[in-house]
Amino acid sequence: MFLANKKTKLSVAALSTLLLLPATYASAMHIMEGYLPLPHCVAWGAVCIPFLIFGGIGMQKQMRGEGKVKILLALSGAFVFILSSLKIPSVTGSCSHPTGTGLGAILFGPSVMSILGIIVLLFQALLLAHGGLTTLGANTFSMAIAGPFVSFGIFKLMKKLKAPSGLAVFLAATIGDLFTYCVTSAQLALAFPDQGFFASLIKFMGIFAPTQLPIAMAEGLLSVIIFNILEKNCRTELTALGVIKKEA
Amino acid sequence: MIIDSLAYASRLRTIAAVQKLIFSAAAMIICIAANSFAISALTAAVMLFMIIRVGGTRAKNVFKLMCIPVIFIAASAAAIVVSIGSDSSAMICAVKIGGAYLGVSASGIAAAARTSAKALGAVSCMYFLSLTTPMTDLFSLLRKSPLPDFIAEIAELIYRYIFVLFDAAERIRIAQETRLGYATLKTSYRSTAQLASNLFMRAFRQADRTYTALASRGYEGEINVISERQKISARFCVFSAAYILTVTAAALFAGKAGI
Repeated sequence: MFLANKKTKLSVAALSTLLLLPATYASAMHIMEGYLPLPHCVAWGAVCIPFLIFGGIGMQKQMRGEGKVKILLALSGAFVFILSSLKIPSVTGSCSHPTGTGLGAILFGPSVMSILGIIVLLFQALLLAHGGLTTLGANTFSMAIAGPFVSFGIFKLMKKLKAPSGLAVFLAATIGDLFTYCVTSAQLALAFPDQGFFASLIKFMGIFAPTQLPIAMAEGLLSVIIFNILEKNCRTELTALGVIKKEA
Repeated sequence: MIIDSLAYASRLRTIAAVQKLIFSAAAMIICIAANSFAISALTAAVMLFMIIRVGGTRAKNVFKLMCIPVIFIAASAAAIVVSIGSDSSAMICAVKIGGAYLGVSASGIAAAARTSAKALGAVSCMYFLSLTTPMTDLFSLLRKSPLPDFIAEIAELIYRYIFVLFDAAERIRIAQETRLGYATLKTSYRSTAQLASNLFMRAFRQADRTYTALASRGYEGEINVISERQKISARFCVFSAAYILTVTAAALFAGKAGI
């Protein structure tokens, strides 16, 4: 790229400032309240409904057997909320949070995560002003449905391939996170197509990539360390959840 | 969770939650559907007036809270301003990268400004609800809704245990910090992971204890609570109806005038 004339230099300077600004948007990929047009809000909400019904039926079945399951599920939801409010340690000192959904999906299963996820997202909107009420559908789809299902699928696949659990957890959490970020970019590109959906998609993905790629890796790493500690100290709990098999 | 404690102190707390929910939802929908500067500004102004003057929440606290979404909105607006495409004729300044142009167009700036204003209006509607209505009031609405009861029960339990686990997390973090647990990047990762896994264990033990406590009090799988009866306020009813009618009319006018 040649910086031939003054105008180009100025453009480059202006554009790089604009591209750096979203780097402060380092928190998990919530779409802000009011950002999506109403038809999009309704459509994303509608997309979530089958998953939520499926998750709800699954949850109800689990709860029928024993009264304790309900309380355990509630504590799991609270755990996911706190997990998503922890800070990811980083060199730059920027304040970023994990989505927590990858680890949640591995521990509690993706269909349970969809219900716990929507409740947690609702609390994040009302108690922390992260995300929003009209964008709840879109955020639920990207963070509580798409991400967890991909994480869970990758975790199961890696287990089947007999990969070490560290690698399985890392890939599940990282790719789940990246998938969430791709879905959010697609949602924004659909809402603001500008010069066509694909150009816009590339733009949003490109802008959020510098923050989201390291965050995804960091969350993957953090999930592995957490999982290792859990595997060492909480075997009974993990066996009860069906994450690891009983030792023969 | 400063929002929740402010909600308990608000003078608008006593108004029935269902009224406030309908009011803020309607205002939010009008604001987003109108997609106009004037309506967004009007919505934000009315909501802030209601929260601060009528509700009695201190302005300092409200503006501090408004900073959270403003940062988000500014960052996302920057993402909308930048556009990529093969056509650079509409762009004010552009840089050619490969076969495409990366630049800023007037329509992009307009879209970003409009969306930011709209988001600010919608956020103030959300704040109106969350700063005047404690979560417990919303739960009783959730119980009355056609959704299965277990969702409301789980939501209530999650809400309760967020505070319990949050306290535990805070204490662990302070203990770790005093022992230089966050001194370097490597120890930070270790400490954060230990904190998270410790919380996981605590969550399980807490579930055990809560279950035992409930079971010894006759718990059979359902948690029933008595919710406070809230009177429907006629004044607020009239106010919200007037607001919705006026702003809808204004929105139609603003749509025609294009502001």
